[in-house]
Parts: sequence; structure tokens; C-alpha cells
Amino acid sequence: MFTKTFFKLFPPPKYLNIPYAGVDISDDAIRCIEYSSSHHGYTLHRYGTRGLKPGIVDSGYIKDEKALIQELTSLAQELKLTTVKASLPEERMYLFKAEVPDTNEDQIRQNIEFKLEENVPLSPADAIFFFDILPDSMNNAGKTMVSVSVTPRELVHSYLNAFQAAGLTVVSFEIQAKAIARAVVPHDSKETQLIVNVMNKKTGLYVVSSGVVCFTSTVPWGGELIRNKSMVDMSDDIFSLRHEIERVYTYWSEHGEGQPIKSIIVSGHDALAISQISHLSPDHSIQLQVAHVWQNAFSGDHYVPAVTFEDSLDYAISAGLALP
Amino acid sequence: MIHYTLLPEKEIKSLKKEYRTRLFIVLIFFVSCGILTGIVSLIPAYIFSYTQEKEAIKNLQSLQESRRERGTDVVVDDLASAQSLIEDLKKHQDSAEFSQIISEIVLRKPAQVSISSFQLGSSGETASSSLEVIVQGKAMTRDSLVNFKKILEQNPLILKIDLPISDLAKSKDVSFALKLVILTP
Repeated sequence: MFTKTFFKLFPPPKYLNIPYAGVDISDDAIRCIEYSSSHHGYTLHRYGTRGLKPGIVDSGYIKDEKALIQELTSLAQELKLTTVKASLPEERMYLFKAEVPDTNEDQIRQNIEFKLEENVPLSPADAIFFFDILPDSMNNAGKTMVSVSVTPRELVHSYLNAFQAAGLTVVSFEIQAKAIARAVVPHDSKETQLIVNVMNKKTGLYVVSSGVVCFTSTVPWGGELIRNKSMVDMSDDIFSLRHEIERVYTYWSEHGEGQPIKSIIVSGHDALAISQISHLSPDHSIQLQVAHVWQNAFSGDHYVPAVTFEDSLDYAISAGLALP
Repeated sequence: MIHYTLLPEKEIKSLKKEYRTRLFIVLIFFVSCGILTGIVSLIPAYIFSYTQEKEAIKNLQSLQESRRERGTDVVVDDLASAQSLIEDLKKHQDSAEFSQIISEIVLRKPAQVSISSFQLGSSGETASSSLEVIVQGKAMTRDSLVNFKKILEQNPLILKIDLPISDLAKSKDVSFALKLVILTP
């Protein structure tokens, strides 16, 4: 808190506090956002989208590296990007929770390394991981819970090579779920929320507790199934999505550690259309809301972004990546 | 602060190295700025003191010129000489009175010896409480001069008497210069 106030009053020079953009590579597009600091928070400094032809990136795998580099280079030149924080496809990432002794970072890291093979089908040598300590999770035995994100080393290298070939420096990779949660879940939220991120051909379901992603699941149901359809037809198509939401809700209610899910946040290109369907929520007491992508970046009272609310739903991941 | 997450260790090391380099450059930049600001802020003071010095030198030169033109320098030199004499006299304020010494010598001289001058001064050879007196004159005979020297030697206040041998070359009308070292009270 003190550090935050101090750096707000005495901001470090830009040369030291290197500005970076959030770049989200999905199967259908590359989306980018960069904020700049202002008196009332952040403002949109640069943003842009490059559509990707089918087959360049497929289910998170880079199939045509040359074409991807070309698109990245073009976007980087257009937006004058140099440093980025990028997302990694969640289909190829693993997320698990583990109990570790509440010691220093190095010891927690070593402890997680021992538990890695029990939880993911990767050896420590083939994996790169990162952990978040779950707030208020310390028990009497001096142990705390951590949420561990694991990614295959070769996946990181394939994305890193593409970015470096495009002349970009990557300062951090993040899973899409964490990036989106940072953008759409209020900073001070202590509740447990379910984020439904609707993409073209798939939907990500993420359970976020006190701002930390605790569970992720991807279902092969995409927004393109309901486009240009009437509300009645849409209701039938969305049934499978509702079923998945109910499954996650039940799982979390029975096995999840922490509070029960209080609300559902829908994000993605088709979030507005989906939010119209009343029976998506598994429980009447659970509030369904459309993601507010800018809520942790700036207040609409002080700044109106150039991106419309509907378009902003596409930028949820890159908006989260771009946030410090 | 950026967390370098989900990156290979080599990449993290490289990013951290770059950050440290940038930090060092920023540090050097601020230190240089501090030094530069210090130098710049001292420039007005330097210019001021430089002009003041020039002004003072100019004033001094014109003052010296004006003194030279008005002849004050001569007066100052005379005053300095007088000051020096006063200082010398002050040093011998408590010394023996010269008149007493002269009277003592004159009273004891034989009739064949006449004294033409006395020179008094401080003695550099002996103790600091001694006085050097050079007595010049003429003796009718060599014997009378030797006799005068012997009379003076009997005086306990006279520590030393120098009579050059050349003064005894002549037997009559002998010009002499006796150098006496006298103990002062």
C-alpha cells in the first residue's frame, strides 16, 4: 500500500519503468492494448487487432510460424510496440492448487517442484511454472495454499521465438484466465466468481476466488454457434453451455475451497447476446453480469475510451495483461 | 514492478540484467544532473567574485598610481625609516647610557692621546648584553697608545680590546682605531 502510494507520488522514469503492451494471441486474432498513466488512472494509449487466417494458430499450437511473425511484426510496427506481456493458450496450460509451507519464495518454489509431477503430466525439466499465494489461506500448521500455473517449456519457447522474431521483447507470459480475471474482477473483490469467456469456437470457464484463479475449464462451445440466430434458437444452442456452467458450479460447491460462487461474469465477443438469456445461471440467487473490461483501469466518469463497450469485450485478455 | 512470469530462466536473467543496466544508467544520469546543477548554480557566484576581484585590483592600481603622483610614497618611506629607528631605539631602551661609557674612556686616557670619534653599536660577537665601541684618534707616541690600551684593559667592564698591529707600525703620531666590547648592566 505504502509502495503503491510512494510510486504514485514519485513515479520512476519511463526508461526504468518500461511501458509494455498486453498482447493476446488467440486462434482467430491478435489483440493488443497499451495503457498510459494519467491523473485519474490509466487511459488507452494504443490498441489494435490483427485477424489471423484459420490454420495459423490452432488450439494454441502455432501451425504457421512465418505467418504469425508477419502479423505480429505488422502490428508491432503499426502500434510502435517494443515490450509486451503476452498470453499463453489455456488449452495447453495446467492449473492446480497445492499446500506449501509458508516460507520464502525460493523454498515455496522448491516445494512446488516436488509436487509438480503429481499434478501435471510434465516433468519439472519440461515445465515452467508460476504460483500465486491464495489470500487468507494460511492454516495453524503454518502452511498456505498456492495456485500454480504450469506450461510446457516448448510452448513458451515457440511463442517466445515468434515474438522475438517480430522484434518484440516479452517481459512476462500469463495464462488467459489470470489476465481476464485481472481486468474484469474488481481489485478489492473477496468474493468467488465464475468468468465465462466466450470465444469463437470455445468457451473458458474460470473460477476466481479473492482475485486468484483457482479453477479453469475449456469447453468446445463457441460464440459462432449463436451468431445471426433468433433468441429462441439461441436458447436451444446455449443449453450445452448452461450444462457446463452448472457442472463447474456443482463441482465448486462440493469440492472447491473457499466461498461458493456469488456471480457469473460473461466476457468475449458474444457476451452481450448471451447475457440476454435468463436461464444461463444455475441458481436464481447468482447474478449474471457482462464483463466491464476497463473497471480496474479507469473510471468512465473521468475518461471515455475510443473503444465501444461491445468491442471492449474482445479486449478483455489484453486489457488484463496490460494492467500492472 | 514487472514479475517475469512463465519465462525460461535464461530469458529472466537477461531481462534482469537489462533492468540493472538501465538502473545504473538512470543513477549515473541523476548524479551527473546533480553535479551539472551544482556547477551551473555556482556560475553566478563565480562571475560575481571574478568581477569583484578585477574591480579590487583596478582600485588598488589606481590608488598606487595616485599615491605615486602625490609623492605620498616618499613620505611613507621616511615614516617607515623613522619607524625602524624607533624600533631599534626601543630595543636598547634599558641599555647603559652612552655618555657614561664615553666619559669613562675620556677620563682615563693619557694626555698624549687625543680621541677624534666614538662609534657605538650592538656587539654581534659576544653576549647580547654587550656593546661595541670603536674609538678613533691619534697618539703622540706608540708607547702612549700601548699605555692607553693597558689602562682600558684594567676596567672590568671592558671585556675585550682589539688594536690592529698595523696601528703600531709608526712610532710617532700614530692614528688608531680601538675596538672595545663593553659589558652593559
